[in-house]
Amino acid sequence: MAINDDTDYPRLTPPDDSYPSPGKLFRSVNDLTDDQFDLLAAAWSENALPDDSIAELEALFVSDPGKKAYAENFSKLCLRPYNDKWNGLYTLLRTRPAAKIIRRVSITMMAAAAVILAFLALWPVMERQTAIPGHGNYPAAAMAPEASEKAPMAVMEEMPEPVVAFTKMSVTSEKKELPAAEPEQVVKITPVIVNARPEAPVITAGIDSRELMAVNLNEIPASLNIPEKEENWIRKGISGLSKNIKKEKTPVDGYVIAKTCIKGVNSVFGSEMELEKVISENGDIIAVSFNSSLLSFSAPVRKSSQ
Amino acid sequence: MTVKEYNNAVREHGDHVYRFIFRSIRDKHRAGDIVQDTYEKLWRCVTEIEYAAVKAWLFTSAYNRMIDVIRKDSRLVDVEFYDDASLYAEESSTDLNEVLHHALERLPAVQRSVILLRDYEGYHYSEIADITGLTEHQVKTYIFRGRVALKNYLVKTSVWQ
Repeated sequence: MAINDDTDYPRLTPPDDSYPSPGKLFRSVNDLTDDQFDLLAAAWSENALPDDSIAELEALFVSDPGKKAYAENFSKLCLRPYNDKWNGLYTLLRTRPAAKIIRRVSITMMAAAAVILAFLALWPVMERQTAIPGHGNYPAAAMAPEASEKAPMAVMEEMPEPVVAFTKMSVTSEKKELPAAEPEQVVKITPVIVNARPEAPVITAGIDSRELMAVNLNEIPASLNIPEKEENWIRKGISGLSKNIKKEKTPVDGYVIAKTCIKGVNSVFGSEMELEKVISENGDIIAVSFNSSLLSFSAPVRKSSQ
Repeated sequence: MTVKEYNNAVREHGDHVYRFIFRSIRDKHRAGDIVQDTYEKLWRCVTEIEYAAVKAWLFTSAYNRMIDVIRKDSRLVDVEFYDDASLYAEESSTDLNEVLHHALERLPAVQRSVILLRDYEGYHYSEIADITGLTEHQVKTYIFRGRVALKNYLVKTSVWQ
């Protein structure tokens, strides 16, 4: 080893030593281990090798075709995707604000329309039920004093039993003396009871007591032509359907119809609307309340419609 | 990106992102949660992301979320903890694709992910590098080593001739 002449900055200069057998360090493609060849083959199958590497590898394939077939098998190691689906994907979709508002308003309108339709459909039935006597008690009935004095008494008067007697007469000739009259044979016929007022009039709630007028007993017709309870066409139709299905006649409840409508709207549009009965301490239904995200109201229910 | 474009991104890429995550962690519920989180994140910054870049953004975000889940959850055992005897005992299928998917489950998470991105989505190495945060060279190395591991699995299950 020599030291240069520079005494200020002395430094070593490399000698001419060399590795005795450098040829042993060189490697050819044939010297690759199996793992190394696998890595190269994997890269070759994906066309990811640089040009010089490809040239060397293809030279090897020429000398050993079996290795080429082996390397080509790596191209089969490609995964094919399965048809994996996620059910919750469509919950990620977003709606535009305008569409959201339109959707909400339309749902609420439809629900309100369903409730109103149900009430309208049941209204005539309620009216008839209030007009038919003998249904429930009417605590709100109020009578003005003068009206109560003149009002007809709701009393069934016992009529005396009428007895009708018939006399049998026998006629023999025009001017014959009448034979001694046979003792009269009295036939008693079943008495006919005429009830002038078969049913007592009932004063119902909601009637202005000043409109009540006194009526003479004689003017009251023998029989009141009370129309039979007639159902409206919606209830009649639903009753008919349920009768066909269940083979028995079942009463139809207007509340159930309205609630079913709302349930249907909820299931179609995914809204959260509710129709609930409000029940008093006595167990009577006093109102029906409707709740949704935008609208809520409560409608009183007449006792006659319960 | 508009709301309409966001919804298109859900329809077009939602299943792909889910498939990538599900095949990576093999857990339907967690995969669904990760996809949901990813889209939630996308919705929060929907105006800042261009529609053209949304697919790469979704995969990157989902991949990062998945790595967080894997790190936090000790139940997701990585392949290094399996012993060889348990690896090959259960396989009986001869369908190559099915066997390959079984083999994929045994790979380390990173190798699994890069191979899925390469094979399922056809991403280039540089794109996979962007999604996973690796260098392109690392991606290539993981993919080639993953292929060799798959081949070794097939050899041991006698599917590789």
